[in-house]
Amino acid sequence: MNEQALIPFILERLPELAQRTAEHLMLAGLSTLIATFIGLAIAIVAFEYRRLRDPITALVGILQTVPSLAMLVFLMTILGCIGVAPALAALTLYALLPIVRNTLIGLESIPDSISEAARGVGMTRGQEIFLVRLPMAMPAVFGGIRTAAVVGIGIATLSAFIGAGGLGEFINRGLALSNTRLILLGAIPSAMLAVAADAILALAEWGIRPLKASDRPVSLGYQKFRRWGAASLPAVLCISVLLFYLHEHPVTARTEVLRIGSKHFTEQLVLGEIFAQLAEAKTKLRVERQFDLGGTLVCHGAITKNEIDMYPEYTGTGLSTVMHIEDVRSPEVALNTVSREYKSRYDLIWLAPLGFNNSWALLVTQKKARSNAWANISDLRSDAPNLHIGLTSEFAERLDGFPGIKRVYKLNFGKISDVDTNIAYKALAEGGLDVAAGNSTDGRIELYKLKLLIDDKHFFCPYQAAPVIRDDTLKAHPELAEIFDSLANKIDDEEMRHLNYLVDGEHQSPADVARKFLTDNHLI
Amino acid sequence: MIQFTNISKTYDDGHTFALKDLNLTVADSEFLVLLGSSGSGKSTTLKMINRLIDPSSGTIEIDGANINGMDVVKLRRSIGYVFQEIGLFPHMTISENVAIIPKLLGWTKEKRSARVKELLDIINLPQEFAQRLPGQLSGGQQQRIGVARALAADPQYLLMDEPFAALDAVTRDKLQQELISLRAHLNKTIIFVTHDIFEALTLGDRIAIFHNGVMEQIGARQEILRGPATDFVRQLFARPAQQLQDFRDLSNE
Repeated sequence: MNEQALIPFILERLPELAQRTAEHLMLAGLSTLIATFIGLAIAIVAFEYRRLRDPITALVGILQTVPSLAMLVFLMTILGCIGVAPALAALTLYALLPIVRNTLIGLESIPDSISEAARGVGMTRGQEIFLVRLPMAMPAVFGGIRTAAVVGIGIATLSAFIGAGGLGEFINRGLALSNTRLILLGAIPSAMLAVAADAILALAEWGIRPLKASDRPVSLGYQKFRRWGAASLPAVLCISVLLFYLHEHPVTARTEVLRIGSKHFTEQLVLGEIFAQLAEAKTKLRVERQFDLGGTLVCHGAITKNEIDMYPEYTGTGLSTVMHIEDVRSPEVALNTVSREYKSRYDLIWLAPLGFNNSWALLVTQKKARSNAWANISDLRSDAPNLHIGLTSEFAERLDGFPGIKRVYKLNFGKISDVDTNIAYKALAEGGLDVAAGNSTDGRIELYKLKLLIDDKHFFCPYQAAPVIRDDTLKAHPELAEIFDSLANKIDDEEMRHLNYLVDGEHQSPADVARKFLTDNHLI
Repeated sequence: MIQFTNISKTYDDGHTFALKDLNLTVADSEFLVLLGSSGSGKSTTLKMINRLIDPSSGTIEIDGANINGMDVVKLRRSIGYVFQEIGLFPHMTISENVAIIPKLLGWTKEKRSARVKELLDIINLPQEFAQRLPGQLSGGQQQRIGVARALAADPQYLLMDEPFAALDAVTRDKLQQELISLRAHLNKTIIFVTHDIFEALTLGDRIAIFHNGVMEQIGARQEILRGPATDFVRQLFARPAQQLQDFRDLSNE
């Protein structure tokens, strides 16, 4: 482990921290602001039309129970894009419940004597609501806004999954790289923001509270100053964050930018960096990194919706996850199929494969492999009844995973456990498992001194990695094809495992690992 | 002039009556007190005048016009109303509270603040109260503001619903005296609801006595004291009269 010292670690990331904080505050602030207006309107409608009250509160309550990630992905699908729009929409929907509920309670809890007085002096229904009920409900409304803002700042960390940025970017990266510091770099500022937002809104709430008999009499000027100052404080902050955000995200011409995406695990981050640095070195394009996108479907959605220009993809994933074509065993057929189908279905081009094949794999420790003379998967057959195997639930379910392996190799394992990948590797190394399912290029194979058993019956589908790029991007910048083709067959399984190991095992940053790879191979 | 003709109010289709077959004429510039215990129908009667409650049957006319044909918002803005629980808007300053009806009527800001100034003088409160909030005032001061609010648009009619009931005896007495002197130089028709016999006798030109939704008797103070129309009215006044006699006897010993 050669971890950076803490202070340089933070200093190096200060500019990004500022940018991510601005994005984060923009997401939470703007969504709370929008939710405040919509929430007030909904609450007033629910108050006016008694029959709608229960359905409306139930509906808003149900929205709150939708898991955050599901909501983000759902809205991403509905709005048909990744990034800020679906994130704002999701955060706004979450912010509605506390605002609607508190406003409604505030509107309803006005004493009868006051509402009778409002009617008695000749207010219309609208005047009663806007001149009396709503102003009197303000403390309750503010309480709702406070809750919404604090919850929003928390949930905004998930927006990074769909490319909206924010402090969640650090958390995602940290999770993908098993780097606790990066996780904390996102989590701690986000918690601090929540506390600060709560304090500022509490101050605003205090400012607009009507004076009571027990209060020290103060001048009218001070009262007005306090009211307006306190009430405008959150607004001023919101506006300055927006300005800062716009400053950090200048609206530039699309054609000059190459937007590179990646999924959120180590290998994809390394490949994304390799693509990005290669493009930066060989073209004049400004490279925009949209890394850490949730998963295959997020990346695929993003590239087809012209949110990103390219990202690394695997032939097997393109076949099964994107196009639902199963059971292709030949690497050539797989590549030909995705090339042909991606072009005709999505106007996407598969560039030359990078060389390695990140397929499913069965792993054992090097020590046990040696003592039992295991080299191929077939070698496990006679020992299987005495062996304990660990599987991820996905591998356990998929037909091209464990059920198929069992059938083709006639393996009957003594004990089968469902475990998370992270745990499986460790358990295998420590002897808790005899065999584990994993990925053939995982850096932890090197880290834990594991051995990959050869798929001697060629059961596993090929998962060759290659850059996938938009056809129109390629037409606008034809030189990109040649540039990325220079990566063809430059990374074999061994090399990819090693690059992954440098990140996972030695905690180097994907950017450093990518730079070293490119320079060592004289690619830049 | 306010004219009640055959007014009834029932909440259960005529089984029980909050108010039954009321015929009553309130003359201009009169101070009429509606006296009765709770549930007698006196507050219901008052609230019908500005349509906070609508009658089940019968008609009410103000200056010859049926109030059912009037715009309810306009009607209420044209009548001053002092509420039992004061009902000042806690988030508005005294000035904003007093000027609420002028504001609803669209008066200019200058005209409103001049009116607030004038009213604070009339109710004997210092001008600096204008910028305070209701919560910073005592109960008696708050109800003075309640009266000022009712008078703000200079209405011909002033309805007062047990306005002093929640105040302590000393403050109540003081406000009663102020109301009497206020009335002397404001030419208003006042309808005042109370359950306090002495308050009724102190303030009213005429007193209408309500019991179980029925108006038992209406008349000037002396008329009622000398010639109670029903047993209920006789008993109502007998008890305080006895108390007064006891009090006098005690002080003469």
